[in-house]
Amino acid sequence: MSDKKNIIDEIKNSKAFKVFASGIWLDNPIFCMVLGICSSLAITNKVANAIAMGLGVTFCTVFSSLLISLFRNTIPGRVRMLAYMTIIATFVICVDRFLKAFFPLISETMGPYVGLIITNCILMGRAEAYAINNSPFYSALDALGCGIGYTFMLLLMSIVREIMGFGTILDFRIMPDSWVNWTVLTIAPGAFFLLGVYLWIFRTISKKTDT
Amino acid sequence: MKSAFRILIFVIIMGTVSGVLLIGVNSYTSIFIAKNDELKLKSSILDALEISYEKSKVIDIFNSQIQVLNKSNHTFYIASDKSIAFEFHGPGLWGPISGIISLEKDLKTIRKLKITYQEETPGLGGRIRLKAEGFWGEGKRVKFYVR
Repeated sequence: MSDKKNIIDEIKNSKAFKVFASGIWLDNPIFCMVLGICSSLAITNKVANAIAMGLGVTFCTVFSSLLISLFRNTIPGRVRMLAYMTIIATFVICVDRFLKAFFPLISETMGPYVGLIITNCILMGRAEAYAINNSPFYSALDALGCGIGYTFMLLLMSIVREIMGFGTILDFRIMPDSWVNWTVLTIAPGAFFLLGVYLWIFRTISKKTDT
Repeated sequence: MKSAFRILIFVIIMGTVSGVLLIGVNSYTSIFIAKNDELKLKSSILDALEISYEKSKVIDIFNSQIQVLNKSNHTFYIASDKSIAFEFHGPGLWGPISGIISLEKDLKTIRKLKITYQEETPGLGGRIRLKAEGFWGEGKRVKFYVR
């Protein structure tokens, strides 16, 4: 029993776990760093869109951080931003083509927001703040944590918005027929309100708000 | 000088590698994307001509119920009830707008209009799909001039 506890403590205190977990909770991109807000307001009206966007951003963040970290000693300092943009754009175009080929409906619903992953501050942020100074393993873990943290918040928002706004979850009707849809939650202003509520709750729980 | 040369070499290698990767992804996905585009066009034409179909049988129903007529560089899709549909294109604010319009057999009354492609701002100009389809509703009479 104590061995098991020791192992859990060891994992909890390891650098890898701390790097991974910080992106999910303490340094969550949305409620802590307030990054990636545009896409989180725009595409979270349906859970399917949130899953696709979350996976897309996670994929691009992990692989761009990994590549930037691998070549961190090769990338000339003066063109490092250019290098980040090229690497990120390459992965985003791959995601865009993949969605167009295999998930055309989701691609059409998300419209230009797939391409706009390039401008998502989380990707550039992780590249400049972490990947350029750390080893590939930790950079990939950091990016994975941030991607999961971002996806987690998108899911939380989309679940509430789809249930209240459409009465469905993943397009399956779950609310009774008498349910009146809260149309305001399907549009961006409603998402802003919901995001504010989530920021308040999570920043209070994680003690990030000054009292 | 040495530093500038290093940057140049780096940019050339990075551009080449990412270019090759994107060419590979493009050639792998373009077949699937072309198939999806064909399905979307054919299902939109069936929608515009108000022919019911199952999603898995779009191509079969299209081939059996629609006659395709090419005339003066225009393609027309004719249903068995002699109603007719064709594609239209025009410039939008951020990109081209395309759609399908269907006419009754008098060739003056609109049966249905569908916007199939647009790049307008989501939530603003992007609402053209609903606005246009609502505005050019069933029964509107128009005159067409073929250029």
